[in-house]
Amino acid sequence: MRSLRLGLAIILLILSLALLVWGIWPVARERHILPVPPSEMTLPTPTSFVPDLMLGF
Amino acid sequence: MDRSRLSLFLAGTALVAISCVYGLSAQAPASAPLPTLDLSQPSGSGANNPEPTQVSLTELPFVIVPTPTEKVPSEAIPVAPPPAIPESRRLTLEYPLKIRTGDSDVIRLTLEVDTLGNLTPTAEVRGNFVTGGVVQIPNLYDTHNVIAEARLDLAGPEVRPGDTISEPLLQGQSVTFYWSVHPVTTGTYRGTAWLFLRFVDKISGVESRKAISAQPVQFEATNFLGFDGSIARTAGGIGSIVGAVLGFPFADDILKWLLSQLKKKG
Repeated sequence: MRSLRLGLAIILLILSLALLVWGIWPVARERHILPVPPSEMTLPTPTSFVPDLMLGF
Repeated sequence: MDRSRLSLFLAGTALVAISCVYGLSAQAPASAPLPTLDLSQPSGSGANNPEPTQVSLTELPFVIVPTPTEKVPSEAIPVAPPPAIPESRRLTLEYPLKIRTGDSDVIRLTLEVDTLGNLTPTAEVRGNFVTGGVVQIPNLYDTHNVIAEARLDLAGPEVRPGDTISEPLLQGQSVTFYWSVHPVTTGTYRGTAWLFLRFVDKISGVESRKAISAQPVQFEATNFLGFDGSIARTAGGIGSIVGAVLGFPFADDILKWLLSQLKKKG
């Protein structure tokens, strides 16, 4: 009776602790950093009005 | 009488002859070839057709008469640079790689001032020469209201807010956008985090919009033995307590004592 109770308790503890750890473990996070130069934050200019020199041709 | 008739006849003949001469000269082709323009050819195809061709769409020659104009200065006209935001910024996208089903997590997009990457333009290119001097770029904050807009396109899980979020972008200040993501079923979800800048002219009120970045977002929604996050935590907590009580060394004595107390009351 005692060994059965102890065996049941161990199985229950292992399962419960596994569920608990999985449920509260913090997840990994991904971080992407992208530099944005001032040239990217200008007013939108139609391509047809941009002189060739500005386009680098 | 005969003389007057004769002179009248001669005058009439001379008139007819003059008329014929002028008429023939008007119908005769020009001796020198005129520059013509083939309107059926697209512009810019002169390299393949070096010789001028005859007019194909009309019989009248198309003559371009150059008109004298003022002497064009050979130096390039300096073009004022367009107004820009006078600070370098850094866009940071942060998202979880895994989310437990039933749970929610946060995706964060921050546009902050990059203090290490400030750029000061010190030269301008004119033709093939680089001339020194600081280029004065007009400050966009002075002429426009700048608004940062962000949107998260993600199919599958519940995303809040689902629409575009707007926040005013002020000089030297950061803006941060948050989305709450709540997956219900397991799977791999992919989406895109968009960032736009909207410029509103302070005087005319004219608006323009520019996409700054579109970054991919990908995460996996998981479960454990079929349990989602909240059920796993609840079951794990209760099971741990029950297991600890069952495994307690004096659990037998405690159970016997409890049973004896219950029998006494009964």
